[in-house]
Amino acid sequence: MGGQGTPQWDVLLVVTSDRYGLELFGSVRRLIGAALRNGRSVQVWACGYSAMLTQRGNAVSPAADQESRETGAPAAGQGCCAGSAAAQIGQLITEQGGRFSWLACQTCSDDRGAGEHIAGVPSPSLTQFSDYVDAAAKTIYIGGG
Amino acid sequence: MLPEPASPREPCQPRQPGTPQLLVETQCLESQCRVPHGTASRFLRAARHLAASGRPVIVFLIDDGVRSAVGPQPGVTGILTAGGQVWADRESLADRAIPAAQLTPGVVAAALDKVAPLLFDPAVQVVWH
Repeated sequence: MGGQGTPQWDVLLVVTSDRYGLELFGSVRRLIGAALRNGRSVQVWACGYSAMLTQRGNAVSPAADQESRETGAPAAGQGCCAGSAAAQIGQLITEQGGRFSWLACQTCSDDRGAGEHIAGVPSPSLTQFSDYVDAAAKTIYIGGG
Repeated sequence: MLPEPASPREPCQPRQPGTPQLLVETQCLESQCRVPHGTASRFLRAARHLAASGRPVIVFLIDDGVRSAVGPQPGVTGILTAGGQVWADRESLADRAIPAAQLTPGVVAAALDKVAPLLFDPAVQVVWH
């Protein structure tokens, strides 16, 4: 990651407030969409409760989950969970390829007892955070008090 | 018209005088919220001071922040008279059934896609509150 060369990502969106995981994921989703439509690649670092959004159980039906485990490919949302945040994030990963990435902070995930995340969502440690900042041309923190 | 973006790998370089600062407020004023956060008015006051100092300042109100610009609001009017701009997210307004006609005079309803070029421009300093 990172270094002093050309940034790999246009935008790193750091979601630091539980509000964006609990009640305002729609705003995060809108920001991602606006960035992509603006021609920017965007990586999201999900902290706090936002790190819980991509747990496997929140995303897909059991059948799709099993298929994803076997193939290693991100599972699209199906059935009861098609509109969930996890399903939407999984769909973006699949559709946008290298222009979108969602990172679930491992430290926040561990603090909250999160289970396994959906395929395509890495869980870097907070100690790696600066590498991701270095890898982006611009970092925006959303949240705070 | 925005200045050409500086090199994206020089975030610590001094800002060009004409580089806008985009201040994003997501919370309603203390007097408007059932559970007030207590800092929105201070954030708007900081925006007014920045605008009065001659910096190009744009305040973008989103989520509950759009409530800050309903009706006559001295905090918002102060930013405008100091030379700043205030935009309110169109979708957040619609979600709260706030017609644009109810906005503080001078506040512009704007789609997020109109704000995106500024928001994601490496040369534009963004403060999200």
